[in-house]
This record gives sequence, structure tokens and C-alpha cells, in this order.
Amino acid sequence: MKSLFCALAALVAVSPLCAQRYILRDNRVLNHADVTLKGANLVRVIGDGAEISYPISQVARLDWPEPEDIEQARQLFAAGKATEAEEKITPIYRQFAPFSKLPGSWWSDAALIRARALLAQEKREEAERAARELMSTSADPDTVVAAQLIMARVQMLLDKPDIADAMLDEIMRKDASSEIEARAAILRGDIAFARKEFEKAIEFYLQVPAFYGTEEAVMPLALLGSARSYRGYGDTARAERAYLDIMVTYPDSPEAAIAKTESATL
Amino acid sequence: MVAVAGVHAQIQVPLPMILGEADAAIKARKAADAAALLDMVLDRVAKGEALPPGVSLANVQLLAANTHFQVQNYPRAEAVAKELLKTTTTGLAAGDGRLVLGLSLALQDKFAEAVPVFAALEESTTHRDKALMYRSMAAQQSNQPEVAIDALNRLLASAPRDADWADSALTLISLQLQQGNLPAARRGLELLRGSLNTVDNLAGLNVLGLQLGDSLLNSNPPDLAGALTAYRTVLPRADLVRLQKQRIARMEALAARYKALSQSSVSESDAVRRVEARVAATKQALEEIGKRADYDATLFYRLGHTFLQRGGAWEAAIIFERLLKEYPQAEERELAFAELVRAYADTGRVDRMRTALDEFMRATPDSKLLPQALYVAAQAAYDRGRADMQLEFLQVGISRYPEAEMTEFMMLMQANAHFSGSRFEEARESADAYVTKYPEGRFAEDAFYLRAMATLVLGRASDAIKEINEYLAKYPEGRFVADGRYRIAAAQYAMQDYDAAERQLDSWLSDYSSDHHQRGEALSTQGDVYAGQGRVEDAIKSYRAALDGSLSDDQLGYVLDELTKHYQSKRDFNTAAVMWENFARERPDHPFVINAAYWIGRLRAREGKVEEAIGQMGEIARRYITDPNRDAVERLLTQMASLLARNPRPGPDGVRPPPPSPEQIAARIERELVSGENHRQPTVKARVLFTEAEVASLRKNTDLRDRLLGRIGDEIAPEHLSPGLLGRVGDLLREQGKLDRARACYDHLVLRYPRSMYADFGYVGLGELAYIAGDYDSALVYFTNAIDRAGARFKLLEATLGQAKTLLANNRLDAAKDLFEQIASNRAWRGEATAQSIYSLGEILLKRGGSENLAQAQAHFQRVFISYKKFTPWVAKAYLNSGQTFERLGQNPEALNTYREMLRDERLHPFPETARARERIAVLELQVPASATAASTGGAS
Repeated sequence: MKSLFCALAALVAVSPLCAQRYILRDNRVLNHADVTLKGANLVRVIGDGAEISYPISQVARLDWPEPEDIEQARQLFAAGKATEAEEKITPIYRQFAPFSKLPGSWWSDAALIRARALLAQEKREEAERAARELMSTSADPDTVVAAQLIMARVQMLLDKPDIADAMLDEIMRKDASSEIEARAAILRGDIAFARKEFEKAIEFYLQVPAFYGTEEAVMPLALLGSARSYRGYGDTARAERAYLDIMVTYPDSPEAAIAKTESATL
Repeated sequence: MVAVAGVHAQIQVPLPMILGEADAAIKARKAADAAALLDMVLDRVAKGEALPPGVSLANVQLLAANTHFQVQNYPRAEAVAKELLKTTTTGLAAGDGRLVLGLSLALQDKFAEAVPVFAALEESTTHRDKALMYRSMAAQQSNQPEVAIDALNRLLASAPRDADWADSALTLISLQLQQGNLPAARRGLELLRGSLNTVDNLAGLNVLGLQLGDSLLNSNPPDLAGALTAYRTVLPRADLVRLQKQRIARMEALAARYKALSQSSVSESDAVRRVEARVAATKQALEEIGKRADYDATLFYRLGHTFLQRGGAWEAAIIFERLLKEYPQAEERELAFAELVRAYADTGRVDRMRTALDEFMRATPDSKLLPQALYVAAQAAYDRGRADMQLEFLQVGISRYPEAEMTEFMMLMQANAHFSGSRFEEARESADAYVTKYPEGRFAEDAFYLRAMATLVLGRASDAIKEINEYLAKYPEGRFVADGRYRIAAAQYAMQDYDAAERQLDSWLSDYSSDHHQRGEALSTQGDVYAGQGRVEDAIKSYRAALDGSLSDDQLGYVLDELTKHYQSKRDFNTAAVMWENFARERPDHPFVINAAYWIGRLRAREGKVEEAIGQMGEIARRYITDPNRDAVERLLTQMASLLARNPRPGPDGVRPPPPSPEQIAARIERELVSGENHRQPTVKARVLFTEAEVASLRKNTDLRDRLLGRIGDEIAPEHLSPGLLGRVGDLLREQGKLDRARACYDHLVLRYPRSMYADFGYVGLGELAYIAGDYDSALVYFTNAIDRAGARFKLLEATLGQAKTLLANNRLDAAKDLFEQIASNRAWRGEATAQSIYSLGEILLKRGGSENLAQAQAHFQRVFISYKKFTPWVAKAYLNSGQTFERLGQNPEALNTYREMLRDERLHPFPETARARERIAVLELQVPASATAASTGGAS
């Protein structure tokens, strides 16, 4: 009768779609809960202290839902809390490091958030190292391009807009996601702004609301750039409107606080 | 098989065994076998047989219904589930039973029956979200949109944000759109935008975004913000295809994982079905979008149009540029061109606007939208002070599209543009052309009157009076009657027909009320008439009455100046000073208050009350001294400096006290200008230093002057300086070689104060910096802007010279020659600029080469060192070039004499040209016998 009840229970059971599993090359499956990582092996205890080791090299892919910490770190970063984002994401970055190149691994996502958080804190050397690691390790082309963009941004921290510009030319020769294109447009805007080419800067920043309207994560940054550039261009009315747009549409973003301060001096 | 029907007897297999076999069949994925076995169990139970202990009928019914559902025997699943629900209405089994029943009904297209089943299922905490989702689907299918919307709203408020949630949100938006509830549809889309990563059906989202955007745009009044949000959710085709393929792969993987589960539930089976259906629908939508070559062009046009409507002209311009670049043959191109012109017009970027307009005319010369675009462009050019461009656009519009509806508008604008550009003859012709073409046109009255006004301003007063009278006869109730009658008086005054003017003005003043807006002007002209008649007291009375009427600032300034002039002619300095004092007191915020202070100081000084004058000037200056936007303050400070720079008068003993030291003057200035509140303000500090520098300048102490101005540049940031100071300080910093700081001053001047009377300092300064850097193209633009944009009030010579030397550096010799000749022939500019121009004209000839040109060049160089000796840098250059020209002509003795003559002028020794001359002498002395040089002429001799 036990099996009958199991069959009945299956009707309402939550499906195991959210399992955390390692899929081996021979299609065997290891549940994360059943193994521990020891050195270069996943180790399963089978009773009486006996262990079976599975070399990591035998893992073909991971079947793993997105860890909640990744989304939380993303949100912290978006709220301008780069230090907290770095703290939140670093354990995930380390957890998936042994599986960095495998399909289903969350390492690239974590490493990218971490690199961006380091950059936002202006930890230039660490950000540069993190970007280089991503470029050499990540198997995801979009993530590699995102890391290259971080490298270009580092050049801006070094006050070398010309080098950043040249790097961007190189980066944007490849196909990129709309998020990367939006970030590249913002960087180009920053370069033009640094050169006091305000008209050009406005045109770059406004590429984001014009063509990448769904890229909400970078929208406040683009609008802030446009507000500053309008100001440099001498169009205070539009600068004021852009500041207001940030404050109204993205009130919780770090750019909203900056917009409030800067618009007060218009 | 567990049940065998024999011929004579029937062996009853125990129910526990049958249930065990059913379980085994389920595990072996033999759902049909299991279903038959479970039916057998139910049948025997119905006949009165008891189930084994621990097994409830409800559970068996549920398992049977579920199993029939798995094998798609929906009628049987429905029947079993209904049986179950007759006896089991609460608890887990009831919930599961309703789920099977609802889905079974729905899959038999019995949607209306399914709706209440799912409604009842909502009570189940386990199945609530699914129940809401299925209820909405069933309600939608059974044409109950309100029920579907209600279910979806409740679902979206509480369900986790996953692919099903996103699908439900899309359905809700679609339903709201169908119901015409646009605000709700918009809210739905905004909600979905917060979780776009959960949307699998991006193609569907794109279609909905476009539909919703169009509906919001076309609603009355249009919801532009909503439309923009909707369009901005739509992905361009390449992005859509790329992302949708990723999502399809994600959906297919999910479906595969569901299928791989050993035991799937009803909802999981349905989930697979839904995912597969979603994949199919998405692929189809993607295919459709892929076929539409104009997909992006359509999207971009909508986006650009909505941005433009909403005041986002910069964004619109970016989008239209891309549309026209990537889809030059798109159906939307005409509209895109027209709106691109408008976008550039709205952002004031007239050069880009011109380029867009040129492209528009080239691409679609017969477009019906062109006249409108030309009109918009002309208006924008006017707004940006580009009258040349405005007239060009109007001329093109009027001549190429004579029959267009906009031509009438353009013709009137052309007449107005000529008039405001002081091209009165052309204004008259344009107005006349309008009146001829549109005698009864909508602007005929305006054109008629404008023509008369142009005639008046052209000085043809008699003709103007005639034309105004014609206007008065044609439009006795017209808008310009009062003005026309007043202008007749003005024309009579211009003709010195004072009696007629007096009569006309008396009549005007009695016919129009005391608050008529032109009364002040009429009284002012009455004052002029009386003054013309020599009736100074009457004139003063009229001018003073005019002050009580409404006057523009120009007219007010005129009346005050006239009164001041007449009071001064009567040597009544006190009344004039009191008038200005009253003005400053009564209108403390008027821009003329600073002029008032200027006059008070000057008039009181004429009365010998220098100390009082300085005090009053200081008192007014302190009111505005912190505001860098008030550039008239510098004028006042200059006047104050002129009083402070005066030597003291002799005392009663006839002994003149020693002049105050610079320190004493500085202390006095500080006392007059600095107060407790403003003493730390950088603008105040700059203005104090400026006043000290002005005093030093008037006392011929140029070192001190430059030191003080230099301190302004070194110690005070450009944003604290007024336009006048930015120009002066920028120039000094440039002379001192502090080019970056100079650039900061010039940049701030042209960006912050583009309309300031001192803006030409900024443009010329930037032009000189670009010239120094060898960027001749930019230099030419800056020098030209100094004249065209800033009006070159102070720097016309420098700007013209800058243009000329830049053209020369760019080897545009003809254009450079014209400008240098213009400078050299201008008597007002005689001086170093003349020397430079004559020298440069020689250089142009030298560049052209040929013996005749070389001879002419020689004459130019010699003219410089003979006639403009004072300007040693050019004399040195001219000597050297003269010697070198002799050498090129093969006249070495003359060359040698020229170089030697140059060396005799000790003033030229510091110049590098002298060292070069010495080198040439050393070479030539080896070639030329001494006798030859004695016999030859050269240089000044």
C-alpha cells in the first residue's frame, strides 16, 4: 500500500525542477546534497564511512537553479551598494569556481557582478584582475565582452579616455547583447563628456533610452550622463528635465540622489 | 492480467492485488492499463465490495481520474472526478479532483463549465495560482473577458514571477487592449517591464507593445508617456530573434525536463502542453516578424515620432538618423526626414538641420512634406539668430513650391525676416509680392502694413504716410490703426514737419486712453517734436509724462537719456541726478539701475561732489556685485574707477595733496564694494580686483593692472566671473601663455553666456587657441562665430584678422586676400592690423610665385618696414621676406643690402628673423663683391 500512497502523493508533489545536481559525462546524476567537494573531487559517503569519489573533470554540466544570492547581489549593486554586493556575491563566485567553464554553472554571472562591484568601488587593480579572469575563463561570449568593457572603463579611471575609446572600437566589432551595447554607449558618452564634446556625449547617452528601452539597469546612469551633458552644452531646461526623470522614474537608484544634488545647483 | 472471466466461473482477484498491479502499471508508465484496473476497482466498490483498510475511495477515484487524464480520456476523467466531488468537497483530494475535472472539461472545450470548477479550486492553497490561471484561460475561451481579467489580476498580484506569470501578464494586457481599457493595459505592461527576463514569448510581447503603443498614441488625448513605454518594450528585429531563440531553447529544455520526470502530475502534464504550445506560437510569431523587412523601420518611426511629440527631440533625431541610414528606402522615410528636420529644429542644431533638409530634398524632391519642413527650418534658423539660413530656406520654399499651402506663410515670414534684418527694401518687395499674390490672404493686412513700415524705415516718409493712409482706409478697424496713426506723426517728425506732427500727436493722445500701450512712445515723440521746435521745457514735460506710460527698455533708456541731455544743457545737474536717484529707488531691480548709478556718479561729479558720487555708486554696485550675470556692473565700476583715479583737488591753501597710493585706493574700493555678507564671495573679490586694475590702468600703471587682472585669472574660477571679466581675464591669461586657464574662461563665456555682449571675446579667444594649436578648421569656425553669432561688438577686427590668417594658413589664398585687403583699407583699424595685413598680402603673392607676383610681394614687404616701423614684429618679418624675395629674384646685392639695413635697426635684434638675416649675410658676402652692394639699392633705401 505504501507504493500506492506514493503514487497518489505524486499528484500534488512539488516537482524536482529546482534540484541542484551535477550531471556526469556518463549521464549519471549526483545531487548536490549528497556530495561534498574535496579537492578536485566530489565525494559521496555511502555508509560506514566509505566514500566514492567523482573527479570534477567527470562533471559534464550542472543542473542548478539560479542562486538567490545572485539576484540579491544584482539588486544591491543596482541600489549603489557595491561593497555589500561584493560581499554577497563572493561566496557564490568561489562556490562555482571549480565549475567555471561548465554549462549550467553560475560562475560567470557571479564573477561579472563581482568585477562590476569592484569597479564601482574604484578598486582599479582588483577590477582589472577580475575582468582579465573573466576574459580568460568565461565560456559565455557576452560575459567576455562585458569583461572587456570593464577593462575599457578601468582606462577611464586612469584618465585615459583615448585608450578606452580605442578599446571600445575593438570590442564593438563583435556582435553583442543589447545590454552590452547600452553599456558601451554610456562609456562612449563618458569619453565624449571627458573631452567636453557635449553634443556628442548627449547623442551617445541617449542611445540608451532611444534603442535600449528595456535595459532598466543602466537607464539611470545614461540619463544622468545626458543631464550632465545637456548642462555642459548649455541646455539647462533639458538638463533639469533629465534630472527630474531620474528622480521620478528611478527614485531608489543611486543616480537619483546625485540628480537631486546636481539639479539643485542648476 | 488479474481478472479472468471463465466460462463457468469467475475468479475474483482481491482488490489489494488489483491496486498493487495498478501501481506497478503506473510506475511502468502503462497508464492505460492502470486506468482499466482502477476502473475495475471502482466498479467493484460501487457494487458493494470494500476497499482494503487504509485505502480511501476518494484516493482511488482521484488516482483513476488522474490516470484517465494522462491517457487523454477526458470524458472518463471528468466522470470519475465528478463522482469524487459528490462525496469529497473539502481537503487535498477535493482540490486535486477539481484540478483534474476543470482541466478535463477545458480539454473537451467545455470552457464555460470549467470556469466555476476553477473558481472553486481557488480555495485550495496548493492550487490557487494554477486555478486562477486556468480560470482566466477558460473564461477567455468562453467569452467571459471580465471573469478572465479578474482572475488574472488576482493571479498577478500574488503568484511568483515566473514564465507562467509573464504569460498571464501578456494575456491580461491583450484582454485589456481588446476591452479598450488602455490605462489598465498600460499598467499591465509597466508591471511586466519589471520582470522582462521571465517572458518567454518575446515575439508576442513585441506585437502587444506595438498594438498598445499605437492605441495609446491615437487615444484622445494621446497618452504619449504610455505609448513611449510600450514602444520601448519592443525589441528591434535582430535583438528579438537572438533573444527569442535563447528563450525557445530554454522552454524546450524545460519541457524535456518535465517529460523526463518518472511520474508526472496533471498540472505538469498540462505545463508540458502549455510550454509546447508557447514554443509553437513563438516560433510562428518569430517567423512572421522575420518576413517583415520593414519591421525595424516601422518601430523606429513610431519611437522617434513619440519621442518628438513628447519633447524628446534629441532622442528623436538619433532614431530618425538611424532609420534613414539603415532603411533608406523605407516607406516611412518621408515622414522620418520631415520629423528629423523638426527634431534638429527643436534642439536648435541648425547646421545638422540644414544637412537633414538637404538630404530630404535630394532623396524625395517632390515630397509634399518639404514645404512644411522648410517653414519649420526657417523658423528655427530665425530662433537661433541665423537670418541668412532662414532667408535661404524661405527662398527655396517660395521658389520651388509656389503653389504649396505653406508658401503663403513663408512669404509673410520672408517679409518679416527681411524687416527684422534691417533689409527694408527687400522687406518691402516681399510684402508687396505677398499682397499681389494673396490680396485677400489670411495675412494680407499684416503684409499691407509691413510694406508701409518698410517704406517708413527706408526714410521715404512721404510715401510711408501715403501707404499708411491707404492701410487706414482699407482696414479702418484693423489691428494696426493706432500704430499707423502714431507712425504718421513719427514720419512727419522725420520730415521736420513739426506742426503737422504736433497736431497728429495731439489727436492721437486725445483719441486713445491713458493706459494705451503706445502712449509712452507717443509722448516721447511729442517730446522730440517740442525739442525740434526748441521748446525745451515742453519737451521735458512730455518726456517726463512719457515715463509714466509703458515704455520698452530701449524707449525708457532713450527718454532718460534725452531728459539727462536737456537737463545738462540747462546745467541742471541736480535735477538730472535726482531723476536717476528716484529711478534707482523706485525700480531697484530694473537693469537700468546700474546705468542710474553711472549717471548719478557722473552728474554729481560734474557738481564737484566726487565723494558723494563714489558713495552712491558703491551703494548701488553692492546690490548686484555678487551676481556674475549682471555684466553692466563692470561699466559702473569703470566709471567709479575713473573718479577714484583722479588726483585730489588743491586744498584751501592751494596745495594739492599727494595722490593716494595703490594700497589706499585698494582700501577705499574695498570699503565701497565689500560688505559683511559678501566679503568671501569670489565674484566680489574679482570685481574689487578689477576696479583696482581699472584705476591702475587710468594711472598708466600697466604692470599693476596686469598683476591685478592676473590674480583674477589665477585665484578665481571662471564660473564666478561675469562675461566681461571672463573675456578680459581670458585674453590676459592667453598673453601670459596660460592657455588652459584662458580656454576655461573662453569656454565658460561662450557656453554660459552665449548671448552676452562680450561673447565675441570667447569665440575670438578660442579661435586664437585653435590657431596656435594648428587646428585651422576649428579656428575658422570660432572666428566666424564671433562675427555671425556674437555680433563681434568688441572684437570685429580680431575676428576678421583671425579669419584672414586662418584662411591663409589653410592656403585659401583668394578668400584670405579679400579679408586682408578689407582690413588694410579700413581707416578705423589703421595700426598693427594694417601692418600685418599688408605683410600677409605680400605673403600671399609670395606663395603664388612668378616674377610678377614676387615683385608685387616685394613692394608689400617694403611698405611694411617703411610705413609701419612702429610694429617691430612685422617689420622684422617684412625685412627677412624682402631679402629672401630679392634672393629668389636673383638680386643678391639688393638682398644683402636689405639684410644689413635690418641689422642696423637695434629694435629688431631680439627677433629670430634677425638671426636668420645674419646667416644670409654671411652666405651672400661670399658671393657678392663689395662693389656690387655699394652700387645696388635695397631695403628702405
